[in-house]
Amino acid sequence: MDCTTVRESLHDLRRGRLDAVRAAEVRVHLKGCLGCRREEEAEAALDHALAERLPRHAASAALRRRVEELWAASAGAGPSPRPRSRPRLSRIVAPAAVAALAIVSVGLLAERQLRVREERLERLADEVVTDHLRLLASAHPYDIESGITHEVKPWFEGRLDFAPEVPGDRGELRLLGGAVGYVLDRKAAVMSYALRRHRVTLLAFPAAGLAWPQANRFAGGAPAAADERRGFRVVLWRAGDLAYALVSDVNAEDMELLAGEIVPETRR
Amino acid sequence: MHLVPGPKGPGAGDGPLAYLDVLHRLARLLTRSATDAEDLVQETYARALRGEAGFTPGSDRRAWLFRILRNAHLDARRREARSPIEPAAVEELSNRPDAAAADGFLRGDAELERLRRVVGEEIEAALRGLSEDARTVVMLDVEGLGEAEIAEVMGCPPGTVKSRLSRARAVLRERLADYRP
Repeated sequence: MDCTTVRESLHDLRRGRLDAVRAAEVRVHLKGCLGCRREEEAEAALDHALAERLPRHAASAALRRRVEELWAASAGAGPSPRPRSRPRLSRIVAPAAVAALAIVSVGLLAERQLRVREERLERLADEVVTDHLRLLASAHPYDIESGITHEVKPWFEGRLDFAPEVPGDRGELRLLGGAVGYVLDRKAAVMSYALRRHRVTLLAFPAAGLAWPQANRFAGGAPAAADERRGFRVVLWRAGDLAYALVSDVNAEDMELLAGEIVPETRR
Repeated sequence: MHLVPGPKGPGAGDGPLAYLDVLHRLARLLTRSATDAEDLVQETYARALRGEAGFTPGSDRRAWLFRILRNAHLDARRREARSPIEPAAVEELSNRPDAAAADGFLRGDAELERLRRVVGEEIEAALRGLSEDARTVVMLDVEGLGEAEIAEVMGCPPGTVKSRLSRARAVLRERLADYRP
């Protein structure tokens, strides 16, 4: 079996679509061919990136509710259901409906604004959870491994064009270290902590130009936006011209306590 | 009324929302905003409930729903004409050398290391740089559909799916390996 044939078979091999004889032939070739083995490793790395790191945008509760309503409406075998969102203006021509349309438009606008705000929160929360997961999966999660604030904070100097606050140990929370990462299109200070057996990530990054989600609660006396994504809890807040994001899989009560401790530290 | 007649296929017996998240994930990569994605998914379910693109009992209901979603998306694009379908992008992709056969493509350790470190935002950006057809094929493969099922969604022969997928993944690897924040 030559290299071209093997490389054409790698995807099917990983998907389990090769018969036993052919799969064995490919594996034998891989053992003896460094080039094809590297190709297989790169393809596997791409698979992993697509499966594990691509943001998996779950449907929002609002969409879920609308589809459920659509389903329920069809259950009675009535007229064919049509989506109820965003009616087109051209279809609405009766003059008597103008006043009603104005009222409906206000409602639709409000609903759309709400969805835009949800979208901003989902986007940021997805991003910071992905960063947190990357740290969890990394063999070298810190560029500086230290539990001392006065070692970690100065380490960021010269590596970032902003100076993040680096909250130190408090209660059961232990600072583990720091690194430089990315949130969306900008550099971020990444601070890693442990809370008992849970990992906690604090990200700090410039807030300028970000579509910032609307606050939906207070944390540590400051307006904050909180969300749950893929089993992780996220709290986002702003302090001056910096944005902070706290991510962990701790329970809701611990997350609230954590945010209550850390948020004021970043707003001094 | 039943979304899909018959109990066969993955997820059989699940409620109408069994495929909501996977449909939404593809919709997010085909559309430009979360709002458009939600409208597309809702339209998909509406069409499914109306029995469009008739479901064949015993076939994969997930592939059927993906096909409806893709058709709804193409219809919306044609209707709104705000962004034409991308034949140029497809041609560009199809004219690229087949990476599987190109000895020079593999960049060894540097590419591998880069691929292992990419983050979600980079992957999403690289996917959005592909043509819609290529993006769809890659995502359907990620969702676990086989070549025959993807071919059913795309309305093309399985052999075409294989070559499109191979080229799309080669372009993705190239772009992700080149990505410099």
